[in-house]
Amino acid sequence: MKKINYLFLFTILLILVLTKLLIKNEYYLSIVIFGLFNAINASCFNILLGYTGIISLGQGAFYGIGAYCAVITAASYGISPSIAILMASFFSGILAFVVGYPTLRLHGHYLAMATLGFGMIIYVFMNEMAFLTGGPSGFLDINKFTLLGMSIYGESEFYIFVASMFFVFVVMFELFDKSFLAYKLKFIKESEFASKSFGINIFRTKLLTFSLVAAITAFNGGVYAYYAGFISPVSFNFHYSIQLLTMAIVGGVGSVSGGIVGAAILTALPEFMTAIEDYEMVLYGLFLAVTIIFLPEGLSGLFKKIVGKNASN
Amino acid sequence: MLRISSLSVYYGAVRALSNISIHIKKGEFVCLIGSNGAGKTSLLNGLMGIVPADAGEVVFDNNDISGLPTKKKVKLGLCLVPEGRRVFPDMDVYENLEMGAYLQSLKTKKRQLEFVFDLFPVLEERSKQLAGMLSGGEQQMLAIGRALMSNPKLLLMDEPSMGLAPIIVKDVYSKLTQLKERGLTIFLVEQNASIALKYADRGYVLENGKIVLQGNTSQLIDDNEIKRAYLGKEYKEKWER
Repeated sequence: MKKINYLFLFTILLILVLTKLLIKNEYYLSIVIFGLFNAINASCFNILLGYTGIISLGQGAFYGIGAYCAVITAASYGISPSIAILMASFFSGILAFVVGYPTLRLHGHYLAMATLGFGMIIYVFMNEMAFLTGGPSGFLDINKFTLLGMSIYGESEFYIFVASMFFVFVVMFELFDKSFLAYKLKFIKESEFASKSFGINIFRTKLLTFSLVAAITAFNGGVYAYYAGFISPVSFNFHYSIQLLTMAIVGGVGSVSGGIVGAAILTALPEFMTAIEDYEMVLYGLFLAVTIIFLPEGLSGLFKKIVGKNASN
Repeated sequence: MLRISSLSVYYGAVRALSNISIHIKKGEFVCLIGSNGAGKTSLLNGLMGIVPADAGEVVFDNNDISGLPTKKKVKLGLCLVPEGRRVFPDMDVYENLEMGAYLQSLKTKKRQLEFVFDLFPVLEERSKQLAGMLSGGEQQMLAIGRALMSNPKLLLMDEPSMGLAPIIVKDVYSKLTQLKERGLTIFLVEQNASIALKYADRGYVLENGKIVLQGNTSQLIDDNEIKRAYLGKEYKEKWER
């Protein structure tokens, strides 16, 4: 087993603090916050694809389910937002269990198709169940976010909250990466049959991982809904799932830093290239192809290689 | 040590194995030979619980293990080296070995690691290399080493000769003989009848899901039916004539 990379955790913490100190412009801060949400989602996606070998194109849907469930339960029953988010996360975990039960027996393209289908169904639901979700025009009735009686409002306060949440998740991902569980998932990815012959229950492990990841994604979605103050189905469509896929692959699958690096780059890049907004999807495709061909371990893999070479010289 | 009585394995409605009975004594090296599709792999997978086995009893070390999950069987000391090796290609040799011992205590792990490196020095040399970069023979050694890491009492092997050059196959079998000398019980299934019968003590012959012959390997080698069906002896003689 490897040791926990404290330097990595410290670097992340440093970047988060510096961002708070240096960026005063609210617009830039909001981009960073979006980047943090994306980074958590991409890291979750990475656990599925990079560690376990589950390709799920329905992560956008789980993100949306978390967002909608949190705001709808909070609005209709008057529950405090933090509890509503936890409930949404729990519900999403259960739903992932139900969806995963039949679909996780599939592999590769078939699994991708099945989860893609699930994402589409949820997207249609969000659009059509207007009495609950507000339909295509979105859900407006979102209360202010309160945590333990403290109300959190505005970019600066939200940044502190989201950044601390992000850091907690990063620590969790790092602990996971160095735990036996990560190894177990990698065994499954590498050879299902060999794992089976050593007594690893592949289906159960995959199902639990899938559900847990869906729960985290939904939790993240709930917080996102309160931050954004307005949600509409477009934010959770197939396009978003593909964005997450691109982030994970460009950053590097199978490592904690992968999803974070990918999310940072792919959140920032479109901001600088608003002129070619219409071709965003083409750009993603290009990134995917280039990374898969030239950098199979992603940007974080490239970085590690450079650092490793310097260290050995 | 292991007694299988009237074990059957079904794939849906298709019966792959019917009423198999096999017994293996402690310290023995037993082989089971059979042609393609005879049910050799199904027997091992059914035994380990990777595919469900119905009807029948499996007793291992005086414990009834029929129906136990694979994990418990591994803990009790049964371990399978799967067909086609199935090493974890993108992990290094050391990690592969470590995986084999994931159910064991740290102490057992260290002891078994020494044992494996002693038996297969090549694995120690390459412990930082990716398993996928090893040659076929080395991968087979790694697969055996990985199984040994779980400290098994009975080693099950599925076609160790598959896809290997004849000289490497000999190498693998001589390692198995060494293991036997160190007190390990080995049960292997094999299509390559000539080599299996040469090295093992006792053999079973499986045909269409049934055991049709059994006995000491020295007797089996001389059996006319075996000569004809598995060793190709008679055809060769005819050819020469």
